[in-house]
Amino acid sequence: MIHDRQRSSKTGLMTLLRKIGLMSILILVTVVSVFLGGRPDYTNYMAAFIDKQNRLETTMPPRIVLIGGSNVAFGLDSEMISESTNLPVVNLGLHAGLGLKFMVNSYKPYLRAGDIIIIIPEYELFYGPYLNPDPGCLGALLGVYPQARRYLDLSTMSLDDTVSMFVGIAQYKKNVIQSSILKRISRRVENTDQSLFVYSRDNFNEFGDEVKHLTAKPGTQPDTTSPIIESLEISPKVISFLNQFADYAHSRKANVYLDYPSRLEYNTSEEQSVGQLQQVLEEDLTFPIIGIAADHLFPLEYFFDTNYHLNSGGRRINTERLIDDILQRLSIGKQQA
Amino acid sequence: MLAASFCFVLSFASSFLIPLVISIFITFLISLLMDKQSTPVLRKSLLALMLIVNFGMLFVFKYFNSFSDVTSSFFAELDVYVVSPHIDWLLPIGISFYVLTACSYAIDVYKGKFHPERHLGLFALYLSFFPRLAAGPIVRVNELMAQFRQVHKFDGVLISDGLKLVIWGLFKKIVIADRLAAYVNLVYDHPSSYNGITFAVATFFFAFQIYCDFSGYVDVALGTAQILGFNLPDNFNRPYSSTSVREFWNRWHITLYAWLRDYVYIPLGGNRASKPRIWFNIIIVFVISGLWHGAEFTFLAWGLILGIFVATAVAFERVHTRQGFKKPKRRLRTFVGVCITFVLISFAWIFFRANSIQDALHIVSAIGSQIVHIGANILNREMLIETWEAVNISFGPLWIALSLCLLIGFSLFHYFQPHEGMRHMLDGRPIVVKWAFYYLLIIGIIFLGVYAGQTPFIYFGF
Repeated sequence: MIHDRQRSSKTGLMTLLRKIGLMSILILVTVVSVFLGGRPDYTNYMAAFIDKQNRLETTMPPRIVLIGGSNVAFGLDSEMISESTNLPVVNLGLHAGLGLKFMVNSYKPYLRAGDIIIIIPEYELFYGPYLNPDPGCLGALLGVYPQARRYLDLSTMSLDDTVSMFVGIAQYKKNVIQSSILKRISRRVENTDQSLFVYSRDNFNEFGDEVKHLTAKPGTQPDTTSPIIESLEISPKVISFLNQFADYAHSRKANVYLDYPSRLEYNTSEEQSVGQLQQVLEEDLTFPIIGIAADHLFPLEYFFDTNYHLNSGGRRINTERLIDDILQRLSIGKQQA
Repeated sequence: MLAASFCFVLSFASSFLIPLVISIFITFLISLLMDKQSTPVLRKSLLALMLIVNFGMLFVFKYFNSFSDVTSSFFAELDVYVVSPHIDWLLPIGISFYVLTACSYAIDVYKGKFHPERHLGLFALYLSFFPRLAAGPIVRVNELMAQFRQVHKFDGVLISDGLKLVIWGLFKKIVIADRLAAYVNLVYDHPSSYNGITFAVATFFFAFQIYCDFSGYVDVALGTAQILGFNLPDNFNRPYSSTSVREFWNRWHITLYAWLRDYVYIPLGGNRASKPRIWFNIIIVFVISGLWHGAEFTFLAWGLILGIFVATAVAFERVHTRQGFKKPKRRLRTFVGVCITFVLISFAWIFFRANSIQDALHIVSAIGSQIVHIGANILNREMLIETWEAVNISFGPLWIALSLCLLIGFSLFHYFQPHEGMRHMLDGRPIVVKWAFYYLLIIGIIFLGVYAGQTPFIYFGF
């Protein structure tokens, strides 16, 4: 009797394991085939990285290279800068989540003698954790442009971050599949104008500026509750990384400058706090800072959808201020003219 | 199992174990002492001590800061300024649930309904059983303790059933609730930026978000317990199919409202009192249920509104509770009842979800004025475009279409699923249909799940 019970329990276990195994195989086969079979979505916002790299390759020095996150992509008019300085401009701004190290490393192979490199990092990038890329954001880029992995410094990435990066790639692939299915459905249901979406590769101009937002309606509202400065303790790793890069560029006859990002002024005391941060940076950085942080703080009316993305009015003023900084501090406009 | 339960608590924070252990020891010891005592005064004193310790912990962790703020605001009104002390401790996981479980246990021992458990380990497991610790269901002693004593043999069918329930719960949480949460959070956290239509859609979404979030958790809890060989009571019975507000509360968070009925409503006099007293009792029960969720005024208002709804329904005796939820004869009446109940419950959800009473009132007035505006211009093309843009906000037509498809599918499923639950819907179907169903659920979790910016289970915060 006991023997029979044990046998039936064993059979039950085997049946269950067989069912679970079969279902797992079915799911695995589906997932793997979908991920491997799915083509990258080259209209994705992150795919603009490819165009920016192409422009870096085809533009000759002397030129101005703008490095930063999306504040650079949304908040500067490269054409206006180019006209004022008589220099070609390459706007590399894409996403702050890529981290300062990745942004700089992806430019390094294209560094040419005579380049004027202006780094405009979002304020968060001055703090330690943001030196490395956000795994999800990086995953989205690698999903569309796997070759970008050559700019990664895997030695400084933790195991957690590496795993998260792969999850990010899978997440990206999943989003591509999801949106491609939905786009097909929506095309049948209604004639949806896909260009309405701001975050798309097609919405960058030849310089690398995001321009769709100049005429589009914002989807979200800027966050008016978060102050800019996390603390005045800027990561020594960030300072050392920037100084090393400036030395490297200098050794190859290029010059590096720092400027401040356009940012929503949270309250009136922000001017003081960004001023303090500026003081710290001026003491620690070994290369010049061309702007004044407070000049790039703007009220809410100048913002599009986040507290770093300027609208057309804000972008014009911000660009004028950067041009002033370039012309005054670098005195290059006159030389070129 | 006890070690697994403690590890589960420790995985959140090691300090969370302290109040749980205190609750276990105090309830265990006092219940044993009460059982031995025959003097009513002493028994009552012991019960009071046990209630003070358990509810005292709940007060300190959950209500102290709010109480301190309200007190200092009150004194400030009298021009007396005091510094309000604050405790920076995190709310221990599941404290609201195990405190109620412990109290009901001790009260039942006090009433002599059963003799207390003499095995500390089993009692500790009863309070801390990990599948239900974080967010219920609130289990009575007769529903669980006997199962701990049983010898559990391997049962493949039970495990398979448990796994199915876990998958279904995850689908509700990751695919539906978390998707809707993105929209709801954006709108409710920026109430000054949106209009009435957007609020109405966000409220509609929240009604399903909270249901899928909470019932999703309960399904995972029940499924996990079943895999381990234990049966827990269900907390939901298709609540949005209710034809009255009163019926809704027999189908929503069943174990909490059963607890409140047995340990608050009946001791207050229950139905055996004058009509005004019954209405008062109902309102008290719902206010307590609101405050159980948190010390915010929004929860208080939510409980009060629901109490008024139910008391009004009872007062007019127009609520027809159906024993065993038999199929009604008149479908139109049922449909209208379901719709009205849904609207009333959704109205109350506004107060539950809003970040403040001011926000809630702003949302209510915005929805009200927009409905009047739309009603007057229902056939106007520009109005339709304006409405669509208001619904769309930043999510785009694709996102909205997917969410609506999921909601329609889920609503139909919710309405037509049998009383016994989702799994029994597939009873008697060909094996291919069953496999296809669970295959699609898992594929849906993988491809349609929302993983970025994932929101924790709402009831983990209570």
